[in-house]
Amino acid sequence: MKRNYYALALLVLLGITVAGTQVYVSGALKSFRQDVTTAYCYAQSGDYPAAKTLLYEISAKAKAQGPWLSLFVRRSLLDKAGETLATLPYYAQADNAADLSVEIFRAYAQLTQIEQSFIAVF
Amino acid sequence: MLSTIVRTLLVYAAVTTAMRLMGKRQLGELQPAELVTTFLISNVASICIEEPELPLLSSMVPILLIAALEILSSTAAWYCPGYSRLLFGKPVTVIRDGKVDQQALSELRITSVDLMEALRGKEIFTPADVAWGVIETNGSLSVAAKPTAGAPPPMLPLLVEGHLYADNLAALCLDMPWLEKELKKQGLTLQSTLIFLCNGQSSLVIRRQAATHKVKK
Repeated sequence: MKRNYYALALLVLLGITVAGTQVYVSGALKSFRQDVTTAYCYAQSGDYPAAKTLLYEISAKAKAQGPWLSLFVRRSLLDKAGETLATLPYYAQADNAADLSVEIFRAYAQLTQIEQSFIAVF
Repeated sequence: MLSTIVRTLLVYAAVTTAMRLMGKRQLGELQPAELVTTFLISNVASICIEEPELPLLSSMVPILLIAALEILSSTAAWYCPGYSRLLFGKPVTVIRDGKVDQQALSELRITSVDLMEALRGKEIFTPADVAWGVIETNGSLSVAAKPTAGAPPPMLPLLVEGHLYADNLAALCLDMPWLEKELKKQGLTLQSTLIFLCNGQSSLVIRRQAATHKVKK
């Protein structure tokens, strides 16, 4: 009955893998949300250059983490969020405050969708 | 394109590992549950290769999870005959001493056309030549042909891993007290008997042994 031990070991390994990936995905999304919030705060306070710089960094980070996240999350959701994050720096201007707000909240919604797609029970 | 190649290689490795883990029982597809497992694994694997948008984890985890659950389920069936009967069902006698049990056929939703086709597959062309015909849990028909002149009748199972074949017992004009007496002669009980076969003239008893670990040389 060696196979039973293999099966149990496999279940444990799968449990650890799923738990580990959940930690990674949640952590990555939380980091993106925090950075986007920080950038939004810069923009709200009028510091558009700082907001733009941070948004560029967020976009680059999303591009770098994309291949790893695509192992765990649907690519279409990542692509949508990636597009939004990539365009955010170009809205970080004083005369685009309203558009920036809309796109920031779009980014939040898309990050939430990514998280829900990963942890949904059904 | 490159991702398709990588996914194909990884899925191939995962499916091969899963089938290897599940072992010969899975390859033999002895029970419908194994067929279901094979279908599930193959579908999940093909979806993973065809849909590059889907995350790799959402295919690898189900494949390996199904394999692990199949192994544990088959082990549970080995230890618990009740669970085995729940999961796999039990064989149903459809022919006894040349007579077709039409009630059993209707409950199984097997037509007489299906039955005759299955008999012809066994090179038997009339139910009258069959001493005992049974539809197994995997849907196949097993038959014990009536013996030719001088040949002994076929051995019928009376007790297999705690499951009593009451209809075979009745067909041989035997009863439980007789069975228990025969087992007692050999120092056995119903629980300690693995298989008991009888044809009315002789019987074969196999004692249940505890599983032992092989000693590596």
